[in-house]
Amino acid sequence: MTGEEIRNCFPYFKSNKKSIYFDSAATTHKPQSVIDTIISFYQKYNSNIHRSMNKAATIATQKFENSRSLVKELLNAEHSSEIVFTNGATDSINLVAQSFLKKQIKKNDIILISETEHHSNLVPWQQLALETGAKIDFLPIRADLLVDTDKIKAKINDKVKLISTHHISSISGGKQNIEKIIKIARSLNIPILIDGAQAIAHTPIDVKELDCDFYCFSGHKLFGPTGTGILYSKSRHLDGFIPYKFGGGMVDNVGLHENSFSELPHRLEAGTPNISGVIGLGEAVNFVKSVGFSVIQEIETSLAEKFNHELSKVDDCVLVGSGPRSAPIFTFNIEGIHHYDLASLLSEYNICTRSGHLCSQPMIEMCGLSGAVRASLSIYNNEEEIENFMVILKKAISFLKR
Amino acid sequence: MLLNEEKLILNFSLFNNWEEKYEYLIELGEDICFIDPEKKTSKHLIQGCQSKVWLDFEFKNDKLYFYGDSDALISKGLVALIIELYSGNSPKDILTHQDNFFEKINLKEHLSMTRSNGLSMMIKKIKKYAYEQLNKNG
Ligand SMILES: Cc1ncc(COP(=O)(O)O)c(C=O)c1O
Repeated sequence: MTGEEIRNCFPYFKSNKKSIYFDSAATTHKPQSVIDTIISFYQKYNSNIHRSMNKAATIATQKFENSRSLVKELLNAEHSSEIVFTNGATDSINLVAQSFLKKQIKKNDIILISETEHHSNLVPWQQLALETGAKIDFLPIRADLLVDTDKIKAKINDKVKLISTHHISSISGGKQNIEKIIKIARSLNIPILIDGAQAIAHTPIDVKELDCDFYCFSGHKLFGPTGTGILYSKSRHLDGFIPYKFGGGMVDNVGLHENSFSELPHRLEAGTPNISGVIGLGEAVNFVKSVGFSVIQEIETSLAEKFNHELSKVDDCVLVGSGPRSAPIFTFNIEGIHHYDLASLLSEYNICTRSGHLCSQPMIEMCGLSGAVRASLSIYNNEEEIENFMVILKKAISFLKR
Repeated sequence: MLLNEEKLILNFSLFNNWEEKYEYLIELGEDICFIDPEKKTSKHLIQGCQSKVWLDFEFKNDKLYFYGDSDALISKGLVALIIELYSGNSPKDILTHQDNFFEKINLKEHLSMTRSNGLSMMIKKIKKYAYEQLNKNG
């Protein structure tokens, strides 16, 4: 598919001809096929899954479980049962914290993360630490805002019970050397979780080759519906997960005083799930497959090069993290201008960006900033939008610098 | 109606586009009733804004007077606007004031009342000060 053909798959752009959407790191748009799939569920076979014995329910259950297989293939997991549906990356991280780590972590044990994590990969651990008396420690960070893999070992001792870090940064677009981080964790037998929220739409993932224990992402950042997410977990860990949500759909036998949990992964998916969402997510995976990561990366690399080149011509622009990018994400400030003012003006010009601490307050503060503006692109953006964005950016700057 | 409300609504009715409104806001910010720099502490910082916004008040002759500042131009203009609107009024008038002022000046569509722009947080703080004064003075 060409860039133009890809863009035409997204009806959002037909109804928003005047706006420039550079906020795909917050959430991506949905192709028509995903929207149609969701509508068709409600119109044609709306039913509850894994419970009702009727034709619609059988179709729905099949489609729901087919999404699991599609995600399994996308991540190249060993078994479909290693794929747990959650309602997003945040939910997935909480699941690991509450169902996996909580039962084995004690006072003064250590959870090793980095200061550059999204709040979703920080707050669940802070909370667990509060509950258990465990501590959080931080991986050393280099000047390019990525984990310094040469210095990880100094941080590791037998108190470290889990390492959790992100794959691609939601701020700099930089990619961690997770291959090496995972290798180190593996060699020391420490479970490792990778937050793939910002990676999933930009790079192929092979959890078998990566050999991580856990990998998570949100469906809505992969052209899928909000309220869907994935936790991939190696089977051997999943067996020991203690559910932290209880109810229907996760039990086989229920008496008045006891019950037996159903098989994995269903025992971790209590209650009626987001059926239409999960089926829509399956369609989003199909969409990504049909485009293919080689095309995705080709388009995004060229957009990122263009954006970087044009932005470098803007006076007084300071990027947060200027190392190589694996996703077209640019976080910046214009010296002498407050990010809030700049973002307010961009919004008046119908440009969608994000600003503030970007859900990564410790990282923004580590960079000595109070906030920044983030422009994040995706496969449906084009060079013309980048050119228009730069014109408007310069207009906004001169408005504010008078 | 608050003291300056009509005047402000009239001023805003003269603008044809958002650029003019923003220019006016920024100018308002330049003439803001400054908060005493020593009071720019976390106690007077308004939580939930993307920019730093400080707000303080004084109670004089049964009326409330507000002072503020911000590190961003547009939010400084907004604080100045809110100070213009509420300063010099009695706690009771402030508390009973209906918040459709921002609709009347057509700023609401521009400045969505979200947590992040903090406009509603500023108004909440002003009402909280008014409430405290009212209760203090019976
Ligand atoms: C790196 C990273 N992790 C986690 C999340 C949380 O995703 P969600 O809000 O969909 O749960 C985000 C979302 O911005 C993110 O960028």
